[in-house]
Amino acid sequence: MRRTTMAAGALAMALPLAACGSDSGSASGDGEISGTVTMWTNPIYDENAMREHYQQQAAEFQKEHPDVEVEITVNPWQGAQEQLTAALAAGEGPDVAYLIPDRIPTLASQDLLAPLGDTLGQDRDDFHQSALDAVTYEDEIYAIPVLQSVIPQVYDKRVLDAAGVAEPPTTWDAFLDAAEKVKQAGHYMTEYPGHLEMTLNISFYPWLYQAGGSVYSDDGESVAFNSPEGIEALEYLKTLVDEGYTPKGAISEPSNIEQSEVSRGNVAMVSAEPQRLIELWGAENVLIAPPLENQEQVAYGTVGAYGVLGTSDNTAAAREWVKWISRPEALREFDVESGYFAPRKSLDDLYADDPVLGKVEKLIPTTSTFGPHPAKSVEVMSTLRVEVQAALLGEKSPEEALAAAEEQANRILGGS
Amino acid sequence: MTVTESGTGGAGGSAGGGVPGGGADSLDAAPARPPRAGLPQVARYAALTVAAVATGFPFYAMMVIALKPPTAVIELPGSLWPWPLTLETLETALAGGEIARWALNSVIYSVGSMVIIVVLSSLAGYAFAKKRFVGRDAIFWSIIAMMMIPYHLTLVPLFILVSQAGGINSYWGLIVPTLANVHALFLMRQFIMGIPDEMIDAARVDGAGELRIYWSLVLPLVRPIVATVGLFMFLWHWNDFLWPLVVGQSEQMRTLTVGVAGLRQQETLLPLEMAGVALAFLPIMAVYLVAQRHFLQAAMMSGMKG
Amino acid sequence: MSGHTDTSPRVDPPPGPEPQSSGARRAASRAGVLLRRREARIAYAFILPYVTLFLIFRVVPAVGSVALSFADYSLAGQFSWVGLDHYERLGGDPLFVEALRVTAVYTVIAVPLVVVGSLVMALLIRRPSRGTKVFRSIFFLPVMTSLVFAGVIWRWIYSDNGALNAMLEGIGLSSVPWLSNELLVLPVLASVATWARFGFDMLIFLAALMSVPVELEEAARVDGASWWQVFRYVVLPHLRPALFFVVVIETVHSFQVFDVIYVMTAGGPVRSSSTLVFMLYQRGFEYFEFGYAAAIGVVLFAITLVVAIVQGRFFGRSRT
Repeated sequence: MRRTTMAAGALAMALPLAACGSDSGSASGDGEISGTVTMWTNPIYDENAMREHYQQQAAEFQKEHPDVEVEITVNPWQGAQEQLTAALAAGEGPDVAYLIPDRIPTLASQDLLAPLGDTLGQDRDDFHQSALDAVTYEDEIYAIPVLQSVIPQVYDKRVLDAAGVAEPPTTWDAFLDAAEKVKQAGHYMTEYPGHLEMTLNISFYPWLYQAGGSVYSDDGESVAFNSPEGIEALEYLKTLVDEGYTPKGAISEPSNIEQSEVSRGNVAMVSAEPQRLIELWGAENVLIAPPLENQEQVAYGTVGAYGVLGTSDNTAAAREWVKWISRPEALREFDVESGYFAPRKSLDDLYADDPVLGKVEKLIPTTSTFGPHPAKSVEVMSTLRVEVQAALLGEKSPEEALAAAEEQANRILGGS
Repeated sequence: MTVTESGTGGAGGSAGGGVPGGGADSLDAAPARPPRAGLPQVARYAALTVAAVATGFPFYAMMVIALKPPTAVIELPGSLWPWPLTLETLETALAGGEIARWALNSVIYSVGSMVIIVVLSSLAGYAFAKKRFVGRDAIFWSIIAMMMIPYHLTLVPLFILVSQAGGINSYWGLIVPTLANVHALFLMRQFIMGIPDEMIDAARVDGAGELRIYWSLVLPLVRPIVATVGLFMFLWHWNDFLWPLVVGQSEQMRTLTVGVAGLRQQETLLPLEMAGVALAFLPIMAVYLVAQRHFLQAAMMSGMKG
Repeated sequence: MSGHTDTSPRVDPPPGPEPQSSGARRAASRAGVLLRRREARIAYAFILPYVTLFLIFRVVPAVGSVALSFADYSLAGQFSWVGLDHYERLGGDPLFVEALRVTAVYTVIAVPLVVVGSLVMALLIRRPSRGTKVFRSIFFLPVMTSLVFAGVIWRWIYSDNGALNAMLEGIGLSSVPWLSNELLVLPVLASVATWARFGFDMLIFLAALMSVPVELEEAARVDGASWWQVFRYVVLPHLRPALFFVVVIETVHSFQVFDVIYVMTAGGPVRSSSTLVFMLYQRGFEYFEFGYAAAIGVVLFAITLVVAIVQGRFFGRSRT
């Protein structure tokens, strides 16, 4: 049906010029939606349980919209990038896809996401601003958040006790003091994850923002991390490395909590989602502390969201479906199942009964997603990540590293 | 049709180690262990043992860790002791996975591709090695040159092509684009070149048709490489991940590698991760153990003795 | 090639003059012309299925990719020709130059490692003797898996707290930052790639070693030749086609190394393992700069081709 004639020639066939799909359904005259909505997601938690959740949602959805079919596919994380890219190029992509914030500016800037601000409408007031920041590109919302994480400072009580640190530190200075005591006791204060596949959102950005810095200038036209604050943050981290407060290997190795120093009870503080740490250390040893404070008190929390792809031929139904699966009723089950928090203010008490997660949930207001980001933020992050790693490995001074990153990043933002 | 059959056919002819009409083949008798001059046996076995340990260790570690409880903390060397072991992690990894369906797709993809690749590449390899025609070398080396184009470069255009032809979510869309395999052609041609021209000429003088020469003379003579190519193509397709993932958009089309990858959640504990690796690996290991006699024996024992 | 009637497989140099191997001795009689035409027709029929599939599924996408390198393209469908812009940008891109250097160094380490390693292993187990079957099976294990998956294990082995360092510490040595040292990371990656691939090459060598006449080797030994002389003058000539194949394949593979880097280092530490294909992947699949990514691929193709032609010349010339 959408086959082009062979006469179009080998070249045209090979070039990614595939036509967008034919219209297979859309809003009809009276606004009633029809057709098929395909959704791709990834195993946020158990694949089968997730599929079941969405099939249940689809069944309910169909009661309201009998002419719409929903097809759900749970794809592996591995290769997801290639899979979606190829599908989009061929016009064979899904209508709805699960997106992490890092991807949204890239996709949105290339018209590959449909704006969802109108779809969300007044309902947006129920979402945490940090969650909305993560899905915003140039003042438009391009995906609806369905989960939010909080990455607090989690302390191993055993290590603190061994080092004679009574309370988790709350400031950078106190953190260094504690670090020395922990080192004397034969442990690491923290484990800074510097591997190149680790997002800076978890590694460098929290320190940068705590120092009062930011990644981008206010207008998003240039980068702002090469600032006194940025240098202070990087020098602070360098101190942690040089003094042996954080294991050197973690700067360049894929982090994997359960095979690291953390799992052996050798690290006092980890910035991580606490669920796994409870398994590893036992709930009684898990201390949740608010983010450190220097100039600001801020921690990172990631967001997961569903977006409607720009190549979709049935955006009307797709928008309705995304709205449907992000209703409070749907998220209540989804977020508890997945062990994440809800991006909605009305669901801020999901874990009220849980001694650990309940505490973490309270930290949602102090979390930031460090957004919104400009179109080339993925590339900017890659560039900065490499330079931060170089500084921590001692190959460049913090000043040199940030200056080099700034120069490259501004070229990326300004050029081609 | 299959490699196995053609192999068997050849085996009949060369049961006594006799490659039909091999030039100087009074040495058909299975090669007796020749005296090893030089390298003393001890050094040889020491080198082999070191290499075997280095090669095998990752598999040992994978299996042992996959057989630890799902949330076990991995410590060294303690975690490498083969006790206590439990199937719990494997079961967890398996739960809910449609292993049978995935395995079926894997078999269709790898066996289908393997058989056709062996036929196509040996036919073409024979022509490139032994026939004279205008443009022979130009065509052959152009094909080899295309091997040097990185896979990620052509992935998207290739997928567009297949999708335009309606190949998404179909077995043919999965298999057909992989059939013109350059490695296979290269290997076939290299080894068929080793067959003496005289043997082929003689068969032709005896009135054998071209297909007959190919089937009854050439293929049996290069049995080791047919078996080798077949084995490699099978393994390559079995382990292929990206193409099945991209073409098989629907869950029904998943191969074992794709399905197992899907069992991994955002963050996976090491034992569970190893269990996933083990699940993709064990079936192929089983096939190998059953088939190795045939494959490797074929590769080792016959043909190419001239 | 004339008079070359021994039975060892031959390799002709890549693009060369029309071969006339066995043809010279056939006079160009009229019958000969007819025969030759018939032979050509048959040959075309033999290569037709392969070549057809090759044209459609290899050449067409490749041509499309090359065209893409002269254009700007977005997944949403915008497309415009930009001429040589991407290539000019490549020339001035320090990341590209660095990736080029990393790729070259990796290749120089990895190719000899895997070729010599697999050849030595093949020579050590070629003759049936006690245990060779077991060794052969073990050596073949890595071929049965894919680095996309097995990389997980290697990551763990080479990590700071991994198996290898535990072993070193166990025998009283200090641990080594395998993946965080810029000088170590490429050899480490090459060792993993070698692990993954040497079984394949070894089997190719084993198959080729079948063509070495046993009695010739024995005769040479009886005459007092050292094992090196036997290898150099009796065995090696028979290995040439296989060796050529393995060297070319491994070179191509090293130039295109990606999986092991993707799984283990993501190009790090800093950029010390960011190879050309890793850069291509980032540009294309992460930044959606398809035109620029295609230009990287085209340059890589050209470089690989030149190297392979040089290798072909070398193997062609030094033929016995």
